Amino acid sequence: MDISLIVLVVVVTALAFDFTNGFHDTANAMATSIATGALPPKVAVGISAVLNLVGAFLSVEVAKTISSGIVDESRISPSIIFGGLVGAVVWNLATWLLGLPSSSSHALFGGLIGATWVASGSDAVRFTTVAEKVLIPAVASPLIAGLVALIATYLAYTITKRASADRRTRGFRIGQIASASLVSLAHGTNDAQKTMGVITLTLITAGSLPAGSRPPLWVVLGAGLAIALGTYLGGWRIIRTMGKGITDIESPQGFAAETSAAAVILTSSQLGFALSTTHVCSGGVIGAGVGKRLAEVRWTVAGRMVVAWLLTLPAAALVGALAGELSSQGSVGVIVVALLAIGIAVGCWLLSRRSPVGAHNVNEVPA
Amino acid sequence: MHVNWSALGQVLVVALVVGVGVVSLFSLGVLVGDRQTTEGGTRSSGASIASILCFAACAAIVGYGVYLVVSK
Repeated sequence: MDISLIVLVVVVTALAFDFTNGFHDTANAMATSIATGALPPKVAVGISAVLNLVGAFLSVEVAKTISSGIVDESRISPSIIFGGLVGAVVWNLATWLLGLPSSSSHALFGGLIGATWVASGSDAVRFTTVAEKVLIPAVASPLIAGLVALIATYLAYTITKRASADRRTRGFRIGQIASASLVSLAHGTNDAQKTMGVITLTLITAGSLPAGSRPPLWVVLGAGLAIALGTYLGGWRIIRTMGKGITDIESPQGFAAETSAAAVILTSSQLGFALSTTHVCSGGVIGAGVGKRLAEVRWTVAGRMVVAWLLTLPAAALVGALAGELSSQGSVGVIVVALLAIGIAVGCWLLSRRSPVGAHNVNEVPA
Repeated sequence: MHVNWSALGQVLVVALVVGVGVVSLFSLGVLVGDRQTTEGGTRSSGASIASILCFAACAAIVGYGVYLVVSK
């Protein structure tokens, strides 16, 4: 099998993206369970990691396009894909450092848009598809999940008003474990497939695989393990924001938020209206906060999060454009971009050590 | 720009019914399960069965959710 340097670099970067994807999104499923003590932090990320790995093997449907039609795929090359992935990874790391949940899919789309734009021109980007598949769902998903969680939380408290507080807390904690696990499984079946699609289609473009191939076992295994490892290491900074930063979650709220999120994610993927897991889960948490008492939501944190959502696509596009442009210059450009990306990753990690967040302090309210 | 309002509306309605339904059922299960143990210490088997039925219904809906994930 003849694999050129760029293809090898794309595969490694795609796995790195998959890792940051898992790392970033642990919070979606597990933050509320960790915050209410339904699960010890390490156990929660462990369960989520296993379910993500299982999810990667379960789903039969593998992404057939890299970009879901957002860019003209006949006009992208491995170096553009590489640029796009670098943009996504860098943005994921930056938002993690700030503890902000943001959509990994949006980061990937943004990176690809930026890289395609500079390399193939703006007409290779399909802006109406961008609006349909990115902008509308981004506005709709937190609203829908928030509304469902709001009503569900209100009813959960109203119905169990006459139950003892202890019984209520314990009962809903058990429910939380089930609903959070369902979100993890759904995440694994969706997000690991994306990376598999990117790697498989790159190999097809490079002629290493015949057109229309299914992902080889090593790709399925690699993508599943990368997302599971990322999930297990856990983006604790984001988990703290989701579980403690937005609102002080109690177990009925956590259960209502995750159940609503699972209902929205499963319904939307069943009806072919793909919504971002991150946006749905964050919306669910905010709705659960409002559903108990309006004042409980820290709107400054929620506002920062929304700003991060808005910036995700353009910021990843900017990095993707720069990385794509540089790596289109040949092997030297690819190596420079790879080194820069590794440098930024190490830099983010070093900065995070100044105020480490881990399993030990994930339930302290951020300053 | 084409906005698929009907799909969006369906997502809203189905998610609302299922999400709120499961949480309400579970809450009922918690409430009924609690009253059976606190009211005078006498266990009413009716309440106990009702509680189990609530949780079983939730489990069935979650099971259907897993089925949807797997069969996709």
